[in-house]
Amino acid sequence: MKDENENNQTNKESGNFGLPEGYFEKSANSIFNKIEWRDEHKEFPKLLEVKNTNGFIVPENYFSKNEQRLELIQYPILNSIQNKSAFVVPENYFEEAETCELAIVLKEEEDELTGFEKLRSLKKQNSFSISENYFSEQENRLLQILQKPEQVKVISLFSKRIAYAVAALFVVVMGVWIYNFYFTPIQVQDCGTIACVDKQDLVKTKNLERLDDDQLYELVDPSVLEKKLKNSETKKNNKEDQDSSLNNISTDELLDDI
Amino acid sequence: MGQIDDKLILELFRDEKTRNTALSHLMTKYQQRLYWHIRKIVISHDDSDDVLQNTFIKIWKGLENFKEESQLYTWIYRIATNESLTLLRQKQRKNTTSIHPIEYELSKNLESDNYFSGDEIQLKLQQAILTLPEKQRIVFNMRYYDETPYEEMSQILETSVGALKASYHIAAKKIEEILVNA
Repeated sequence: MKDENENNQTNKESGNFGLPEGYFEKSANSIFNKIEWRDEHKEFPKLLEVKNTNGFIVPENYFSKNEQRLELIQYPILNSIQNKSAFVVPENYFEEAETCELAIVLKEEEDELTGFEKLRSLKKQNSFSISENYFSEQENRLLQILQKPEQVKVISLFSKRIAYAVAALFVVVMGVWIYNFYFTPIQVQDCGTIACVDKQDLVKTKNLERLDDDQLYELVDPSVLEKKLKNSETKKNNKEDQDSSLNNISTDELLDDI
Repeated sequence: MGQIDDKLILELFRDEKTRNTALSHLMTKYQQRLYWHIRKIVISHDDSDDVLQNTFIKIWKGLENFKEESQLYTWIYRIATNESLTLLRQKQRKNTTSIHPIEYELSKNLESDNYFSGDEIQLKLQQAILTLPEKQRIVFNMRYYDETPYEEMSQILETSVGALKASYHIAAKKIEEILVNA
């Protein structure tokens, strides 16, 4: 046994044919068995004459079908359906299908143009022509293009598209600016009240007469008024004097400070 | 230069020193075949010239990432076919003055094309082919003129063999009818 294994190993290593494990032992047993059987039947020559075959036959593919059946035993419901198809087809469907045009086409046909006599009769020729040396020139041209190092794409700022975009943007900006300039009312910083409206009216009409002193006070920034008072010739502390000194400030001066 | 194996072309391409040699071999091997394949789709020689150029540029750029999942020639043919169809669609989009499809314009131009040398019946055949839908037209040209095996066509056009056979049969039938009635 040891020798056999060593022999196998040696054979494999040297690239020679190897043998299945236990080959010689099995082979020897088989030969001994046959000799023993023949010895047993020496006394029965008739039996020896009859060939050692099983007279029974089985249907074709019996064992493979049996295998399939046995596979389904573990699925009783599936097994019970037994491949019955619920689908039906029209009468003579398969017979007609075999003879239909497309089915014939789908089979291996030597001459696909059978039935197309006009097409078959035409001479298969290439009617398109090209200039002389086209392919050699094309090859050289392509080689030049493909072997040239790839240039970095430079996108010009002055392209037509960009010029159109800039012009459109300019028109929009100008339009917004013009709208704001001409149509938006004059806004004063602290505006948002009726006093603002009054101020605009005053600036336009310079009409202070309809306003009393309290209203005037509201319209004019007190800090500015104080400044004006300080700048006037006489400086008074009480309100009465301040009131009278208001008369020293001209309408225009007040309007300037609204 | 004799026909070189595609695997050798790819090997030459992978080495930077022999890349240009690979390009040269590629062009020698495929240029003419691709040109005629393209020409039968786009008809015009000038358009074929453009498409052929674009095809080789795309092949050259894409060869680095070619994974060899398909054969080189099927990949190349696929690029050529797609580029041809792209050109036809671009022409269709630009063709705003006519209500007819672009194939009608190609068919008309064929009559006065200097690069068409066929007789009357060949002209009728080409015009009949132009009436087919684009994929059917490609199938017909590849099978009728180039006698491309269906298995090869299936890899190029990514369509089953059965569908291609059916497509060819329908195309041949249509053309036969046109020629008989012409």
